[in-house]
Amino acid sequence: MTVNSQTRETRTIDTANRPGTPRGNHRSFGVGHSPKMAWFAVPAVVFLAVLSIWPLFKLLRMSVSEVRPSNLIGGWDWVGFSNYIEAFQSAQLWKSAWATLLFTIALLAANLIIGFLAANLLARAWKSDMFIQSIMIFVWALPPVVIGNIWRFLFNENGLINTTLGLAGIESVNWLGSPDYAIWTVAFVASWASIPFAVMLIRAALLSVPQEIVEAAAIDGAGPWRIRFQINLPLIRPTLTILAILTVMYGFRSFDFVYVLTKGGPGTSSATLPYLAYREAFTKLDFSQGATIATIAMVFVVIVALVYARASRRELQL
Amino acid sequence: MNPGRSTVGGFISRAALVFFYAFPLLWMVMTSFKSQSDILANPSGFIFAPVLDAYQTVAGDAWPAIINSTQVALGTTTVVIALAVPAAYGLVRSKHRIWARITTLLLILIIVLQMVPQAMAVIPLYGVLTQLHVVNTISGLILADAALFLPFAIVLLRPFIQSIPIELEEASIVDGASFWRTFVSVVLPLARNGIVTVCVMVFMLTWGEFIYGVTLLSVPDGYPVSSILAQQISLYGTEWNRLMALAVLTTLPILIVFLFSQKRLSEGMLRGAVK
Repeated sequence: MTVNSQTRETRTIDTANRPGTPRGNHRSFGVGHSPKMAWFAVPAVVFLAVLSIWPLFKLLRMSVSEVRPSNLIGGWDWVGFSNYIEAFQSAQLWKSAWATLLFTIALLAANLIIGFLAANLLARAWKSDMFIQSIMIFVWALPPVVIGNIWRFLFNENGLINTTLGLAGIESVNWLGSPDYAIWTVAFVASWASIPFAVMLIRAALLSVPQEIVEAAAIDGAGPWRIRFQINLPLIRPTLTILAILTVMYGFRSFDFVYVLTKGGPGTSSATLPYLAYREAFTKLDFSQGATIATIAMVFVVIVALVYARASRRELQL
Repeated sequence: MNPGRSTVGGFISRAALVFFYAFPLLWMVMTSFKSQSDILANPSGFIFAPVLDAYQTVAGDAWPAIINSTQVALGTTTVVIALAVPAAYGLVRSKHRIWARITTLLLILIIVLQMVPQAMAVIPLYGVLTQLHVVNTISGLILADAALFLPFAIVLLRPFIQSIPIELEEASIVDGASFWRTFVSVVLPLARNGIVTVCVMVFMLTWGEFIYGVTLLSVPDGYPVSSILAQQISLYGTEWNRLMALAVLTTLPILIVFLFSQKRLSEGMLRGAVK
């Protein structure tokens, strides 16, 4: 991450003015050049240091210690990497990693494919489309607990989905209670909740595609689908990349829908890594093991985050 | 290129999308008006006499929880705004040699912090709040939520502050105002749009947050409404009409926020992600 040109420019002005400039005059040549500006960020930095960064260090420290409810606050004995060895040797971690991966792939497919198609459908300012968008933004704004409970009811054994299948003569499916289906059902609900965001993001990108290009292609005889896939799709690829990265990160942070829909069950068949970490810590009260799994999942998220920071560097204007 | 509107495919796709997104919401509202006997006889029936029974049963739990949620959401929004606005301002305007680098580092740190899975932060946070003697209190939950949403708020506010012409601040300084005075009387009014957007987003996110709620505030009469909904305690387990009534009550504040600020929400949703 490099300092942008604006800053570099500032620096030259800074040095140019420096020789012979009395200290008292310092403030007169610009708000941005006073070190005082940085003080405005201090309260937030202190706050985050205590309540975000310090807990992160604690998490790492926990993962190399033996922490039980009795010594949750302190007095942790260093146990080296034995927690990590234990975690990697347990089949559970790999099962959860696999479940997380399936969940993420389903979410990616839904966000990119359905997101792209729906965004194309809604990419103009018609009244009816505005209405559809409003509903979708509202769904995006809904708390995951609300969404999770609505779908828990719909997917329930005698819920509406099974009832409807029954009318069509199809045997009812144990959507949330069967180890084969649970993770897919959770992925479906998470997709339902995140597609609106994907649609809005892709739609905004589609609207920024220069109309001349699209018109030129149309004059050359390209049909609507050809324009969508061969003109628009390549032009909005940066947005799709960012969306894909955000989705992967979301997938590896997935917790709320798992918690509300299945509590990781049946057994641990739908426990994603964050859920597994949480369960180890707060159900089994094995805080070290929870912290270890959390750290493993987090390392992955941070790697994806760094890729994200690179991909969106231009937008971030750092 | 004008595909879609008149074609059958376009119409069917739109209808399917509306159904797919509107029906579950309607189903929640419909179910909440079913009586206990209707729900036991057939949880998926479409024909029933709407009654308010479920709401009456739920009200006793819901009302204190909604008050708790309101306290938590307003408290968190206040703390986040009080910290995020000056921070975003300081980070945007620090062009001084050394600070420019530190600012960049801080921004990277903030972005990384934003990525930390919440379910993981909660494990050590429990210990930290215990040390600060605020575990199981509303203030503790507010601190945790504020730490969760502060990085997001700073990132969201940055572009709003960047769009303020620096000349206005310089004029104010030249006229003899202090940095603080300039911030309060020049920057704050000009950043109003951004501040309102961040308020709306943080309020909404805090209202729905439940992981910290169930873990860091585990005293039953302190529960925010989202925690009750998340835990599905026995009263609501399979009493779908009651559960849906509670879900409707949880949704109402979001609906109000949505009706008044849909534009800000969609703006916040896109800006918060990409920038």
